[in-house]
Amino acid sequence: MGSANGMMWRWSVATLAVLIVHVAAAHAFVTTERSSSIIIFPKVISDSSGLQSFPNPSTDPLVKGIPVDTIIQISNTGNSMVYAHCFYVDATPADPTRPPGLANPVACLETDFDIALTKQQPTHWLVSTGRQPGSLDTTPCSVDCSNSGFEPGLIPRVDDPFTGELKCIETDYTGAPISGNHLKGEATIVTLDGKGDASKYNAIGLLGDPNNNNGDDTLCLGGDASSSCESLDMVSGPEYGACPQTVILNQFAVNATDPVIEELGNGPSQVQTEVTLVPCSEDFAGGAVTPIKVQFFVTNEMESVFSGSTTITCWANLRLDSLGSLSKIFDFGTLRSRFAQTQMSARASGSGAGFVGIVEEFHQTSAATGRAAGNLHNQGDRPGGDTINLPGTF
Amino acid sequence: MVQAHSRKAARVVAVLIAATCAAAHADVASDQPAAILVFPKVLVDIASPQVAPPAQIDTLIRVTNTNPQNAVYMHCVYIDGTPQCQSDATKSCLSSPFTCPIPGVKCIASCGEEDFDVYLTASQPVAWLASRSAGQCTGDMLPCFPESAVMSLVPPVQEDPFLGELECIEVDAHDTPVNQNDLKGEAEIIRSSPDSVDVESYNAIGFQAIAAPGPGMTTTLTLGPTCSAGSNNQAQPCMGPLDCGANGLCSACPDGVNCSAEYSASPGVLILDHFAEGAVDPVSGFPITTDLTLVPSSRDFTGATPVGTLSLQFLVFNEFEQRLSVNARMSCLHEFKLSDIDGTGSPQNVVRARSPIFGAGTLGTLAAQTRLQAVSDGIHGNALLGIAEEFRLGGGSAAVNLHFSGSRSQSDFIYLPTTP
Repeated sequence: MGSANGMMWRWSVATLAVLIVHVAAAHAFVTTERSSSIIIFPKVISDSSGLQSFPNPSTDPLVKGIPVDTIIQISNTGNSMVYAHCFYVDATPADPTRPPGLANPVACLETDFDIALTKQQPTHWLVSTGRQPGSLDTTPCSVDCSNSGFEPGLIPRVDDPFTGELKCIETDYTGAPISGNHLKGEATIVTLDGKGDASKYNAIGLLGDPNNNNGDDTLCLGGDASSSCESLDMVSGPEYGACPQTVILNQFAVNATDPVIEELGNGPSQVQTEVTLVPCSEDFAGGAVTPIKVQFFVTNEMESVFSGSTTITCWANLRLDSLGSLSKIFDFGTLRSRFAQTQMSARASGSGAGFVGIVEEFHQTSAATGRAAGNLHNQGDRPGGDTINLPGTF
Repeated sequence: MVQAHSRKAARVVAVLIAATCAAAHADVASDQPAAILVFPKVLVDIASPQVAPPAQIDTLIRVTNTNPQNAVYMHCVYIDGTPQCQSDATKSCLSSPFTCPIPGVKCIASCGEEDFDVYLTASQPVAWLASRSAGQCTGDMLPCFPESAVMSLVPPVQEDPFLGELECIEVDAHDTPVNQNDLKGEAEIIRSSPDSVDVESYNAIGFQAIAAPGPGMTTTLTLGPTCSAGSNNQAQPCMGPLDCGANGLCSACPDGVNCSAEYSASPGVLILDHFAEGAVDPVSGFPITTDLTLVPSSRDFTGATPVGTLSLQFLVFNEFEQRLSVNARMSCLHEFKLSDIDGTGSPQNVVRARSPIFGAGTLGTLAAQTRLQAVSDGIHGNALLGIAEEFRLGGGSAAVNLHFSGSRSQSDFIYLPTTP
């Protein structure tokens, strides 16, 4: 009898442990407003000539986009020193005067660097200049404050033009990944259009599981424990939150008008949308890039559903009016409604197909363009999980 | 005996599971579908532009039902936080408190409410302009509702100019809150003149439903699970059974009487990363300022409780790890430039604030991290929600959602009016 009771209690405790693990895993979702252990800036642009920025790349080589640059802000939300290892993924096409495509592939090259932040320290840098130690960093400013503050480390500048993403992974002082959940970030894309129009979005965070990170160079994002995601902890499992099963976008139909501009009699107007997607899985060690087939389900205001798909590699900036035949499902002429909901998910159900992204809208009249960025909504966890392979030290 | 122990074990496991699961989704989020959507800032300034003349301003509200199978209803409320001269309630002082006819008069908000219902079919996205009513489509190309959502009728905001908040709660056909998380939303504040366009966008902040409503529980929504009656911390928020002691249960509806559908706990602290006020943008060369809009999590839509005053606390860290602090007060909605806390007085309802801690000259660095919270009154958690907007002197702006840290250590409540 005692044995039966003991078994029952053991069963209960085991069940609870499994459930707690399950709940912890379910809780570790992608976030754009909680400090995290991995932060992702999907859209980083530095383009002094407007070759790759909106409305370029254009079919007309004489049409130039608006020059832009990006300011990165990262903060340590904790009360101890925090370290992070960051990676730029350069997705500038080989010929930056033309749109990326099969004949003009993107580079997918990574550049990495380390930063260190004291307790609660915010830091910033301009991606076109980076941040070099030894300047006036330790001198307080009064108006021109660029680069003032404790040096976060040597941050390289990017090429011009540059289109791509930035990923930062929290580490300990030795460089080993840890699940401290101390990092938050924002990116501000600022135009050189004479008025300083800007788009701002929060970095996308992946929460780390503090009890389940073995600190090796293979980071396991969601999914089940596998040979490549073995943990030193007794309860093995994912080290970080899973990437979303579905990414949800609410957008204007392509060629739809802006109702505020029209209401105020300042039209004609048009709204264009760019969706920037980046894969969750990265092979920073080997440089391998795995294409992801992204499926779109578009629902208009009358509940009609349209679908299509495209393939992304290391970075994709999908301007909804420039996707060839796929653009039809986003077009006002097809949708017959000004607004639509698009649910995006990877077609493959296995591992390594998760992605995240942001959206940027451009509201245009004949006289001006206004831009605004936003974070996409996320739903569910990808069961297959994703993996980030870090380069080792040698 | 074995059976008794088995049942006991099963009960303990069930209780722990329930409590653990309840705590599992205790996050407020702006990037997940939810049951309550909060749009902290809705701005209309068309008839006689005050905020950024000559540009006129309107706000586009977008809400989507992410449920592909079922239609949903939502009950929405506009809260009017437009500052008006205390001496003349018809005169707005949205642009500056100095526009009031009598010098020194207070600029206060009416905090009045206006509610309406919206019906969304499966997966349906809808939108409307805050300045206009929206009903069934008539072909005038303004945002409207197609025939399938004919039950929806959205009124325009209460006045022009208007500064306020919008809250939408997922309900059933009888206006009873439901335990579903199907709603997502965005707001776009659009400034337009014949030669300029400026757009800023933010996501609605969502509270997740975590428990089904109990019988007859339709008018008090509890944000955050609480400890059951008889436990060590009765009626106090909890994240798990250990918070409630040996005899306690961490439940979404502990007393079974004064609660309806229950929701995730409000954030404990808001975190804003911003640029120092007046610092030059390294890209455009224009000075930057930041506006913050804050609203309380607790709301009494019955009108039974007068709108109180919240005490706000700010902790600011610059890039040298130096810490400064300041405090202020607010009522139903607080929209202000960080530099206004520096001592130039308040355009609305900041009562005390004279400390130039957000200025570039004080901070001495471009970037800063500000942590802020309101002080609990012992009954409500008084958690805050909000968004930030960056303005560059040349005319460009951008909005962004604030970050959260932790969960409030005391519940907040939304009181809904009963149907007569």
